[in-house]
Amino acid sequence: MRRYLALTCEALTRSIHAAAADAPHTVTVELLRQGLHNTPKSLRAALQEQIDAAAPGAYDAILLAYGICGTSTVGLVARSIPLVIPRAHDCITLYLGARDRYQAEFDAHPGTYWYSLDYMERSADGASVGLGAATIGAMDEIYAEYVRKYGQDNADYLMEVMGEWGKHYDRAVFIDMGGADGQPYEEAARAEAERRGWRFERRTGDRRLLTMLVRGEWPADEFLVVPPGYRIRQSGGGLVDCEPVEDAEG
Amino acid sequence: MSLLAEIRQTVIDGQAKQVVPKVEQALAEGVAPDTILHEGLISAMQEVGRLFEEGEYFVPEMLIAARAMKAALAILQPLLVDQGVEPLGRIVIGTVKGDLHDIGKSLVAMMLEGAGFEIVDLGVDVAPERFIDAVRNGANVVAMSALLTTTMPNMKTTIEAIEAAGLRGQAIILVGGAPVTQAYAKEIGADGYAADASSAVRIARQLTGK
Repeated sequence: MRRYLALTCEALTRSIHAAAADAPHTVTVELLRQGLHNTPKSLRAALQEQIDAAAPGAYDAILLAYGICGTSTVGLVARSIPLVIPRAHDCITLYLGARDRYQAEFDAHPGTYWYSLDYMERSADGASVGLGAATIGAMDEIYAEYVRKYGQDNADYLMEVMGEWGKHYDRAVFIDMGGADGQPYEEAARAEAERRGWRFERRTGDRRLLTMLVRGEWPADEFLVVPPGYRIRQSGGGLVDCEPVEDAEG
Repeated sequence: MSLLAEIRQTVIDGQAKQVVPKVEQALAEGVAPDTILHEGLISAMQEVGRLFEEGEYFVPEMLIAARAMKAALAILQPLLVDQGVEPLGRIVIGTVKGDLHDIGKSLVAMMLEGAGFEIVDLGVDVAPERFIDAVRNGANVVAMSALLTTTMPNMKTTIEAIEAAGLRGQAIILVGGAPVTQAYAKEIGADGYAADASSAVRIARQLTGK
């Protein structure tokens, strides 16, 4: 039996706990606030702080239940304990269970907005928000601030520009990870999709990658093991790789 | 404050509606269109870039300033063409295939336009062939952006396609976007990388020798 520390985004709370509950190892789960990826520096700093706080020898490995998350995990350094991270873009891969599955979804419908129970129930102001969206309430506040600062004409223009991305999206997908009743959240996602004029679909999630992560099954094509003294770097394909810290500094 | 200084300040303040009558007045008073362009608009956008780099301006301030600049430029453009004023270069810009996020790209496009470049904005989800067509039609700079690590590899694909079309020597290639780094730009063979809209202008001027 091994001892692992799993550093996890709130967006994966239920799934990582379920996976950890069935793991043959002793897994300590630490949750970090979701949405930190919006400023990769903040997420990187929060993760490195947790990594640095782990006493040498306290764990056999520190598991990062993250993807590259917009380069948030690039630059993280393994001290005396190895780090393990799935080779994934972001939590959608972890929800869907395989990088290829996400890639196929992405290639078919790049304009997809993803929803999940964990993310929605842990959003600051309730249910009607998907992964990464500003909420409707927040948008009202932003608009009022723009009117005050720049005048109504400019505020209208800014809201139009900021809302532009939504016009290029055409699909909402709710990922059902099983377990708890996600019905109310699925309905909220469906309602938001209708309001925005997006097609609505649901997918059944798969805890496969998270399960492999906490079970210590780390095939090299799907997981990166970062030895002590190595740093995570971005690889050519947009995913993660690692290099010795001295090389990165030299 | 002179009328040119007023135009400059109105652009910096992002007052699109107020800048238009001022430009019309300047023209009526006989100020040359390219003087208004350089001393009013381009100078204003340089200041906007500086304010951004100093942390005084953020994206909204840049967007409304660029909008005011564009409103003024729309009046000047036909006159500049008549006058035979050449742009610094022709830049084709777009987000790469699969990437639908255009706020950053549009901001970069407007800042480049505000610096005196001609912009061909292909929008979002731009396939390599469309960048290639634009180079064939005279663009001497290709600027690509990606917001997601999922779409970043399409920058490499696009550069390879430009190479395969035998056009690599005809265009300077610039890349940018949140997950893109200098190291990645180098790895995929881009000529330049810019971390934000303000440095995009600096890099574009530097690489085109303008």
